[in-house]
Amino acid sequence: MNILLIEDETDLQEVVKESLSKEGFLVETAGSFQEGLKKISFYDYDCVLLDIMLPGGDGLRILEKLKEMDKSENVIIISAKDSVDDKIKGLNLGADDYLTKPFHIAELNARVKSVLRRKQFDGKNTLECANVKVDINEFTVHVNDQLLSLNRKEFDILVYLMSNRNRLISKSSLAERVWGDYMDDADDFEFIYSQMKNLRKKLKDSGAEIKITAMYGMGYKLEA
Amino acid sequence: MKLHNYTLKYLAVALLSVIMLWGVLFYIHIKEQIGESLDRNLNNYKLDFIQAAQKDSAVLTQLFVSGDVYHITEIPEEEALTIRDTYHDSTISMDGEDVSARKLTSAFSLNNKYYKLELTTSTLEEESLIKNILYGIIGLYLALLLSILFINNLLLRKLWRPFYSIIGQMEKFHLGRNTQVTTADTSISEFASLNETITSLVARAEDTFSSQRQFVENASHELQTPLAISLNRLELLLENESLSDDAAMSVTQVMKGLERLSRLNKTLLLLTRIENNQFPATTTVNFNDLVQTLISEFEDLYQHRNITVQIEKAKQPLLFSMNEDLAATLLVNLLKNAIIHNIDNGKITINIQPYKFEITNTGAAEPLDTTRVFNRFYKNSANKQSTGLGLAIVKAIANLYGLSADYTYRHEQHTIAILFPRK
Repeated sequence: MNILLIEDETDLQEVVKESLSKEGFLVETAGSFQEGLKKISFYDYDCVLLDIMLPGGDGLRILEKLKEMDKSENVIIISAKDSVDDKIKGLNLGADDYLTKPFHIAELNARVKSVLRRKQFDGKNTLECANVKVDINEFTVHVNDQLLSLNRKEFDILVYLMSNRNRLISKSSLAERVWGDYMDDADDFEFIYSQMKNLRKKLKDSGAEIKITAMYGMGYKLEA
Repeated sequence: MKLHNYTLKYLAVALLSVIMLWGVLFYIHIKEQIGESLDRNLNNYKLDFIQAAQKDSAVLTQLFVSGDVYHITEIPEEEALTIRDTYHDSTISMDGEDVSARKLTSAFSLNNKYYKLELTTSTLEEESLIKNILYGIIGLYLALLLSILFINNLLLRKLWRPFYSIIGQMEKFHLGRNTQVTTADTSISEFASLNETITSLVARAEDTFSSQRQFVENASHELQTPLAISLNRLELLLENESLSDDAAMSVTQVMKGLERLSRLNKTLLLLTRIENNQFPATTTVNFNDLVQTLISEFEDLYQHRNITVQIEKAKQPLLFSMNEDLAATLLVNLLKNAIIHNIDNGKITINIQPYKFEITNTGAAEPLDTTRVFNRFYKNSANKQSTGLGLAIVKAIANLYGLSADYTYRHEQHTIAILFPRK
């Protein structure tokens, strides 16, 4: 799968490219409005990550161009402007998702995969990892075709970790994703631990062949 | 004291002494005039009497002539020759009452006989005249005072209008609200210069203030991206298999520091944006519903420390028109504050009245510094979870909407109350 990243900040470009490449995506980059416009006209991508504050023009115009060209690329808007207006404008123009800078790399991974899944499987939204199968739309988890019942938080943690398989997920990223923005202040994120403990136990008891390990007190990693 | 009352006070005192002095002089002068005319009259009466007596000696036995008292005694020549006309104050009895009078003592000869004449006339009418004059002066004084009061009020009010206008605006002036000072045209050069000075002063203050706030906002904003990228890079580094455990632990420590920095920065940015009033959209917020939703979001956080949360609600909900995000931010910071500074197995009580939101929590067994509790970076504990900005945000939001935020400590419990204006 190939992804186009239209972003003028080279540092961010590098980090995103490195991270997405680890997930097996082919990542191309464009550093300006014109370059981005040129690339979307000549090539087809599965997903476009679009910064809307670009030198040379408004990123939203690229979105309009994609529509004019009748292209079916998935677009995730990346912007430092966390204004609701921009969000609505972008989504109305056909963007699939909206991510506010700064973001966790794991969050971007999860969003990209979610967008691609929706496109690939005709509305079906499932994740598979070893013998664990998660249906996000149906809110169900099956281990060896056996239904595993999880609460909302455990389910969200599992989905997030599975979207970032073999990657380090920092606690702050996990807290933000599962518990919401309001939780970003709690420094040590101790409260994550009890949910994580329950999830691990349930997975182990059901015979799941995936393992969640704690990493240096910084975060967690799902291994299969 | 108002300016025109002040001038009136001085004018009243000054005028009183001037009028009093004038009144006394006038009184003395009039009294002298009246005394002179009295003495002249007495002299005329005497001459008339002597003339009448020369024609008809029968008048010598008459004692009263039109209210004046004549007293005639026959005296020897030697005595008569010593008597000169003298006037002096005296009293006479009239209707059984002693009234003040003026007496002329004189001597005259008639038919080779010598008589002493004592002629007394009542000064009653003259006294009442003087009294009337005094009343007149008092009346004049009061009338003058009243007219000055009236003119003063009218004139000063009109003259000082530009002054009061600018004072009124200064009272309402708040730095950072971008208030425009509007001045009325005035032909008085002092006021024109005052207006000009204040207008430029306000503009300069606003300018400096907003550029400073803009700087804070820009600085926070600019810090955000490099911070996030550094964190992202470190996350990637940590995934590197060749990294030793020791190195990984160091990276983790750096990341924790950066995360803390990033949070602090985000909070500062939020604080600046609140103060810059960048949350214009308002809706009617139901705090009862909102607090319920938010508490459920924090469930894991407080249950983890075994803190119980109790909500007391009045029948009528607390409704207030404000920005929805800010309302949530306000409550989130209050809740976080109550959780973070709580003790294990502690308690949080939330009391919602139609005009009051109160949150009480157990915590440190000593009161916080009430004067500094809402200040930025005020930290009483070495709590690592605290940024020291939570209550500063609460205060900033309260200020923005004219709410009051108060801290109290009672029975080893800390209470923060947000008071909403009654409509």
